[in-house]
Amino acid sequence: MAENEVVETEEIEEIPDIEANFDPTACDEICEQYKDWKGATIPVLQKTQDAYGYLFPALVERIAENMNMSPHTIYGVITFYAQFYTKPRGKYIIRVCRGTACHVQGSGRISEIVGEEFQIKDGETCKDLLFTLEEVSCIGACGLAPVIMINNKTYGNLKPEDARKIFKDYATNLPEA
Amino acid sequence: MLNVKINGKEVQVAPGSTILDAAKEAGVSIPVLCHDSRLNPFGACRVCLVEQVGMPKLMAACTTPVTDKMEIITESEKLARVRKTAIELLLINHPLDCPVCYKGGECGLQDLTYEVGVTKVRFDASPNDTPVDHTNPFIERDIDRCVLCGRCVRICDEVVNIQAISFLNRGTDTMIGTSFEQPWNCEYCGQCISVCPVGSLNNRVYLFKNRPWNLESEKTICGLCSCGCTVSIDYECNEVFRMNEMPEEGVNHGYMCAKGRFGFDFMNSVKRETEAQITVGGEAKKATVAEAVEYAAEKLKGLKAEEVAVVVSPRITNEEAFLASKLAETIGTKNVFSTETDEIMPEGAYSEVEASDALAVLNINVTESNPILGLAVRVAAREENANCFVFYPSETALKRVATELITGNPDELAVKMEKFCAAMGGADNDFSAMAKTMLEAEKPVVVFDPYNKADAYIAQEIKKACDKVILVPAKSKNNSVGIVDMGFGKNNPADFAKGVEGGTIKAVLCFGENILVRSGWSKLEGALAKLDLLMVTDPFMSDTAKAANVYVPVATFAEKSGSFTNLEGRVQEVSKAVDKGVSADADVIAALGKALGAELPTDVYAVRKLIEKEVKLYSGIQWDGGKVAYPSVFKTEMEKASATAKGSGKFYLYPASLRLHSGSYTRWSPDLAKVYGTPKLELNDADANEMESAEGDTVKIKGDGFAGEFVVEINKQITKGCVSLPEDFASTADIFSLGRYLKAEISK
Ligand code: SF4
Ligand code: SF4
Ligand code: SF4
Ligand code: FES
Ligand code: FES
Repeated sequence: MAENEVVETEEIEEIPDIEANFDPTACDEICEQYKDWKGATIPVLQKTQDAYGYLFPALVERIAENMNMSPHTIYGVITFYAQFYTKPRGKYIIRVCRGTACHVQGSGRISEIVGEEFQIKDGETCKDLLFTLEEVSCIGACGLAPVIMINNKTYGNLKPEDARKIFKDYATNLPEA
Repeated sequence: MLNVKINGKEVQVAPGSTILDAAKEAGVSIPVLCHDSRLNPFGACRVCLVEQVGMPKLMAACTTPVTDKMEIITESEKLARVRKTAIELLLINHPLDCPVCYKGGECGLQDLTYEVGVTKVRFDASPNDTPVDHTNPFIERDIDRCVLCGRCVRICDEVVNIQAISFLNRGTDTMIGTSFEQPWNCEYCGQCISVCPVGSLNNRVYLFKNRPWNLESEKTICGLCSCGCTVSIDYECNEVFRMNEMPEEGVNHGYMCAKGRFGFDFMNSVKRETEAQITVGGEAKKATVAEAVEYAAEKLKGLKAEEVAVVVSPRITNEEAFLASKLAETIGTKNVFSTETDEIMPEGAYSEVEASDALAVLNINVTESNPILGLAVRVAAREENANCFVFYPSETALKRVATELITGNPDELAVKMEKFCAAMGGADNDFSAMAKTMLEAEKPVVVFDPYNKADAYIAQEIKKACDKVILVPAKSKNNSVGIVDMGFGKNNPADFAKGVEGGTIKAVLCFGENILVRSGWSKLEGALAKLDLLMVTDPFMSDTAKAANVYVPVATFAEKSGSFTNLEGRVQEVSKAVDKGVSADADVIAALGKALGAELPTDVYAVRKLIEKEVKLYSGIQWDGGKVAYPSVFKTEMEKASATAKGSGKFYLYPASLRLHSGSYTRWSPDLAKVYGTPKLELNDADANEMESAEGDTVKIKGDGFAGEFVVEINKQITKGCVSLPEDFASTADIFSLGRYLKAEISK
């Protein structure tokens, strides 16, 4: 397969379907469960994020209304914690370790390869919503440096071209996430 | 009590006090930036660090509670160094554009920098250059000047309970903003501006108009609603530049609302009249005040006493209203009218509302109609153990703090309120639990709209069922209460309409009232035109003034001294700040009295002497904050009034609280008019969708005896099947003259 066939980069600037055809049922159910809890904001946000993938404006409005809170307060919480996302995320989250050991072992090059393959930078998601790149600090496997994780799988001792192969493999075979 | 030593000085403070409290007690000042005594301790800026003897670690005076025998030092070489560093760190990203900054001259950061003696920043300065945000019509936001003290976020949360802004992001990206950085919409109360120590949140009405050191200030009472806020009128050369809070002062604790903060500009309006006018045979001629008064006096001499009516506006001072009643006495007429009646008078004070453990807000959108009373309700409702039940056709801003919102179309709501009332009297129904909470509370409070007879009846029944309930009738205008005390509430306003229409009233002396925009009176235009004399005083050429044959321009509340009695029944002093070269109503009334042969004093103190002598409730009153003790809230047994909507049609129409306005006055304020200039029909989003109309579209409304066209404002909080219009606009007053709740058809 030719390299540039791997990722189809149609220009989709339009609103992702989950936002355009927002169905609040799941959100309402989650909020209902936590209705009488104090300090329920974080679990509610976690669950709704799990259900919808990310936290978009209409969803946040809905949560705010359900929880009788201000959407601004909720957005404040969302932007405070790294675990919450306000943009769509890829099916596969590629975490490239940029800790010292991995850096020394050339993890910077691996990030570049992700960019070459999928046209994304740190924190970005490619347009077909398959891959998200996140540069992270030491993930505690320095012995295996340079290390990356794709979702829950860890890959260590990576040579740049091995990494490229793994990425291509994901893009072609689309394993269950 | 705990014994604490501050810089060697021994003081005693209550347990729970902070070091800052103790220092205050000891007369020692500690610099602060993020602290505000009205807000919960926060401890973000580290400017208030102090030393405890024998402890290596410094502590924040504003958050650290004192312990017994604590010894605190607030000044030392080490502290000076640390404070200096704290300020230097704040200055790294600060634009230091003080010469063009809104806050220049009254900035907390400038003052601290000066106090601490920072002359140079040792770190690389790297001010940001973020575009200024103008999405809020009244508040400019310059986030680069923000020191992240959080006072704005906290006051909007802890006091206003709107949470319209929040801290966003974390670490060095932290900033103040809105959800998804959407446009900043809110109550526009400006509380956040008042606490911002720097020029980050700026009042757009005042911005770039003057510098604080040019301004003189006069402490007075806001004349825009019945709340009675203590405010400062800041002026230069008879021009009012801002109406500002007086931090922590007054019954309003230094809070204000959009009307007061952004709507005072009508005082400076170029549209204000400066010359009196006499209209004969349709032709208006300029005249001096003396000529106008003389003309009116001549007309009056040809009439019988009982053919003359005196009407006053609830805007004028107690002293002026008293003089007007003396004028009526001189003429010999008992025809004294206002839109107010003496049927319902105040009882509860704000302090009692704030301390209440169970509140019922009956069918009034109190945060809009009476913003400071609204804040008092919020103070109480926020308390963990307090309950707040809000009855209103739509959801209101009290939603955040209310225990329960009881909504529904006006007919449904009336039934619910009656049930609640019955439950208070012992009936067993779905409101029994709520009633039990109220009955068992220590300090139950009921807030209601005294202009709504059906609600007033319910309030009275509740009071009968539970005597400890404190009632708060939310009167509307700055002196709604006082003019009644001065004798202008004895007669039924409807009798005025009858008299004018029936021709028994031939002359009307109208001090400040805009008769033609008042529900019940708005249809008198034709009848007023037939009068022998209609004399009107008003700062503006109002609709009613236009119909007058004698018009005299008069002062606004910033241009005269006297007193107003607020919705608590509290008498408060108004002081003259500026002079616009027009007479006060008092002068006009006295001149007219004189022309008719009576000597009326105009000196405020002389008038007060007379009031104390003649008005029983005011004998021995304290004019600067005394509360009038009314024998009872209700003069008589209220009659049960029907609240059923009149007419037919698919929609219910009811009057909404005035959006950002105060009667017809503030419509002369360009900034308020920009945001809310013409009446809008509020419509639920689902109804709007069904009709395929969008925000800003014009729709037709039609009911029994009325029709009109209004621009749509979509409001999700409005109950489906209901629409509302603001009162007190000429076009809507006509409609609501037909009834408070109407049925209507709406079409594109
Ligand atoms: S103006 Fe009032 S409601 Fe709006 S953000 Fe400021 S404090 Fe909050
Ligand atoms: S905007 Fe003003 S009040 Fe708000 S955090 Fe910044 S400096 Fe403090
Ligand atoms: S209009 Fe009422 S609430 Fe607003 S500032 Fe004036 S007195 Fe206070
Ligand atoms: S530096 Fe990469 S795992 Fe530790
Ligand atoms: S004033 Fe105490 S930490 Fe800011």
